[in-house]
Amino acid sequence: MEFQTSKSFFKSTAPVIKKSPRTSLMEIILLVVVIVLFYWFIAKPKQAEVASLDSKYSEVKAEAESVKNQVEQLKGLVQQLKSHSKDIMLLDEALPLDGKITRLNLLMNSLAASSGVTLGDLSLSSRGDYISAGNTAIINNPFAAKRSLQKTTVNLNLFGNFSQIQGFLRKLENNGRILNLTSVEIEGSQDDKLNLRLSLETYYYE
Amino acid sequence: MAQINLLKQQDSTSNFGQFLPGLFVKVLTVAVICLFAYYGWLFLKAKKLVNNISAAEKTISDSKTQAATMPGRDELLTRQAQLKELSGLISKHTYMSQLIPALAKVTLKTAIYTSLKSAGDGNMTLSVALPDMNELDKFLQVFDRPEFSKNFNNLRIGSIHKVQSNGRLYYKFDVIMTYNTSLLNYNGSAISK
Repeated sequence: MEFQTSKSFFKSTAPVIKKSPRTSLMEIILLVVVIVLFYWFIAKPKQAEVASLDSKYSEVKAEAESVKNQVEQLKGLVQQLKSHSKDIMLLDEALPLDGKITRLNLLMNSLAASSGVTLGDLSLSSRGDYISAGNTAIINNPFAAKRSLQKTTVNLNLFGNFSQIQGFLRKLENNGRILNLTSVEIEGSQDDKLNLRLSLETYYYE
Repeated sequence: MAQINLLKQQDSTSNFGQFLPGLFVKVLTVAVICLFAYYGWLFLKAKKLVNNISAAEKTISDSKTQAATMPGRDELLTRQAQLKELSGLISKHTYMSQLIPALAKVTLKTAIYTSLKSAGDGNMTLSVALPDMNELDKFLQVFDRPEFSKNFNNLRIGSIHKVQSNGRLYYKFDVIMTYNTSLLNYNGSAISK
């Protein structure tokens, strides 16, 4: 008598599931639909999002690098500024940060004295709302205040011989402070002297 | 009687026909898995990019704050603006004293200027005194020469008066003329002495 071994028993009794061609076709169709729908509605938008984020990141990264470089450049420039105090003095002489007319008056007197001319009338006019002293905005933070180019007009009358007057004019024009002659009138006067009437403009940055 | 095995011939094609859909299913299943994996990778990449963007934006913000609060920055900006304004002023700076030697070159020795007015706009008014009409004629002829008319031209004379000065007679008149404004530009000679 022969007994079936478990292996052969299962082999013989296990149900054989045969896929019908229709089931396989359904699976294929289902998988294709899943692939297409997943790709179209989920993966593709995500892909676009990633591409957009990637592009944005490149821009932001470049900007961050640029800003970082600018900060470094700014640091360098601040250091350079500190090491050029003499040039700053010249800059302040040429275009002062305040329009104090007393300083201008002293300058005119000094130029006249060094040229040998006699200074007659001297009038200086600045803008009407100019604060001569005690400007709190500038006192509190001298460099944070908003500034713009301002003009002072100077009218002066002086006497001297031709060479003295010419010397005075040259000193004015070549002075460290910007002094722009706007009108010159030279007239003969008594005792071989000439009378020079000048109008000039000078500037400050306040 | 001979038997014809027709089934055997159909066997290979039917096996292949049965095998192909299964293969397709497997391939498509792998494709689905790959697609899911790809989506997972995209998801992680997007998350990483968002984090990177935030970090970069923070760096920008920090750098800007650092720049805005840097000591000396305000002074630097003021000095830069001051220097820029100065450069503009220097480029417009004129030397009216250069007008006098240029005028002397075109003036007769016998001519006396009693006044000179100029506003730097290219026009000049002179009061001139000359001993006689011949000299006046010579005075005017000089300005007809091209080498001189390039700098001083369009002379207009007002009325001529006969005046006596220091016991001598003079013909006195006013001249309005146009001068070349490039004469006022820096030429290197106007150095302070």
